[in-house]
Amino acid sequence: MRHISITWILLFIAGAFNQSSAQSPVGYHILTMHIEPMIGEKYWSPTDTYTNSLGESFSIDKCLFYLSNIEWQSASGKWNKIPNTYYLVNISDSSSLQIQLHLQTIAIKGIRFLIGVDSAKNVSGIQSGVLDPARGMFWTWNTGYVMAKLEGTSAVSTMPGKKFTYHIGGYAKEQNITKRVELVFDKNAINQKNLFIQADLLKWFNGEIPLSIAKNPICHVPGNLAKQIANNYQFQFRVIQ
Amino acid sequence: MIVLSGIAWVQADNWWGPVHPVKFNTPKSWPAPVYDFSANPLTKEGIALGKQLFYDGILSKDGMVSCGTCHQSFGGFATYDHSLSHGIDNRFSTRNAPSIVNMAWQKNFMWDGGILHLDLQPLAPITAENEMGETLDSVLYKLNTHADYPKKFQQAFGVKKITTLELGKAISQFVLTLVSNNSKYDRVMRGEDTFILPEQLGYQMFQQKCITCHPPPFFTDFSFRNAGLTEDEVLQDKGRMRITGKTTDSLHFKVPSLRNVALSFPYGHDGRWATLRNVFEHYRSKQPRPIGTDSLLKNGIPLSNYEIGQLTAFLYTLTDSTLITNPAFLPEELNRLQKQERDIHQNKRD
Repeated sequence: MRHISITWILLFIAGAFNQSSAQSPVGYHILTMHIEPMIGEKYWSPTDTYTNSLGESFSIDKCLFYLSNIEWQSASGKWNKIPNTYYLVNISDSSSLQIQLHLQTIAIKGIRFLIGVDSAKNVSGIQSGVLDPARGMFWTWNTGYVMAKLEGTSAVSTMPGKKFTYHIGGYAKEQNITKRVELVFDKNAINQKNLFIQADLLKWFNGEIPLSIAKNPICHVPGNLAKQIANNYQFQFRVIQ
Repeated sequence: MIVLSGIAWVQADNWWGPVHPVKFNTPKSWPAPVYDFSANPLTKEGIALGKQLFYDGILSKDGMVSCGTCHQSFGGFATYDHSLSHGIDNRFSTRNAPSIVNMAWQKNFMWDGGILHLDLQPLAPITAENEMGETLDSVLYKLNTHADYPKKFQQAFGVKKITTLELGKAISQFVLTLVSNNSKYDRVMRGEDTFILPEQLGYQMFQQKCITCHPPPFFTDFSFRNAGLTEDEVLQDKGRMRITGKTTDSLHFKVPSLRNVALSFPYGHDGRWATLRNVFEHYRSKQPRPIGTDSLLKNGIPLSNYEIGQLTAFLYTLTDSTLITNPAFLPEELNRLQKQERDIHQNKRD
């Protein structure tokens, strides 16, 4: 019994320490990036049906993607890397749609990041946190991360359950689909604490080479189709003024 | 207060260690290992935990299949006497599980080299639906709620919650200890033994005809080659091409190590050759080879029956009896069984 009460006291002390460590390091500002999953101009909903540029109707159940290696641009134009930034955005998990960044200044001109995970983290064994293979964004048979994933149903799909599944990965040489996205702000794009970024999932389909669900309902390996889809979705982000 | 707190902390089972470091011994004249031991230092606790996991069906969906099911000690830690390794629910995998000795020197894993780190390797069979059929979430749940494992993971790695990282590291710790360097061949090279005549003749033959792809000390150059295979219509296994996407890699498979080759039959990535004799017949065949066959094998390897006999004698010297009888490597059930057998024998003599 006594041990239990002592443990409680300890927990209290530990809790007090934990609280202080959750605050931003001294001299840093917290900027919250809000990712908003959109289909064109509308906020995404799992129950809505949408149409791509090829006239195929579809709905989206699931979309996840990694954002990593985040950098910010200072007033002088210099890019500054925030060390060790790996985030897994899941449109069905609201907590993952807010990314807190610790910046040395709030006066930033732009932000850039990778969609996906850099090759170094693909080849250095098992990682933890959002990079844990148990998060379901990892190919165990062909080492490497699924950088982005989009799944849903469409009447034109030839797969069981009318499903389409796009698991996009590949980091090595010609298979590399890691895309760097650079978002430079207009003057008033950023207030003191929040940055709103829309992710237009329609861009997965509508791009340089439109993605036909009827023709390609699945993509589960690195290669040309994955590259084509990544080329499309790299343009899904836009900053909201 | 602080002292009391400390005692409470220890009594609450928070305390771990000290772990007992284990030194990895690189056999003399072998190259330095590829595996980065600094990221996963071997300990007595980690190796024991890895061994327990290796032989535990808990990693599979129905509890029946462990790593050791297909990597059998008596088969030189390859699949023994089965062409395709078996998975859950009476299912076949698509390949013959290769030997997993001397893994510390290997850069990539599987017949197609798709896996780039030893710690990641177990995740593939665990999650393959025709092998262990599990999900990582489910395996981690079973381990974290197990009566025994959380404590052992804490002892070995100092973690309260088991994640994929510790699971992979633990299994690696055991597998890394499976070093095979005590065959008759090794003893002869160390000057501790001598070849008999057929072995000696076979060794000379080996150096002329086999050593380019199967160089010692690993008896593989770790390359991917097309050995002139025809594609199996059911399996449709393109090997390395599945990983690289290049048609030039079609039907390329990793050159397997020949260590313990006498034990690891059947042969080939899909176990298509039942015996060594079948392998030699394939290599010496004068039939035209499929397009894409490795240039070294394009015209076949001329081998007489005598030469096959001598080569076989040499290949048998690559069997490492100390590996397959070392209690540190065998499942505990087998160790117990062997002890019992020995006792009975002694009783009879008495």
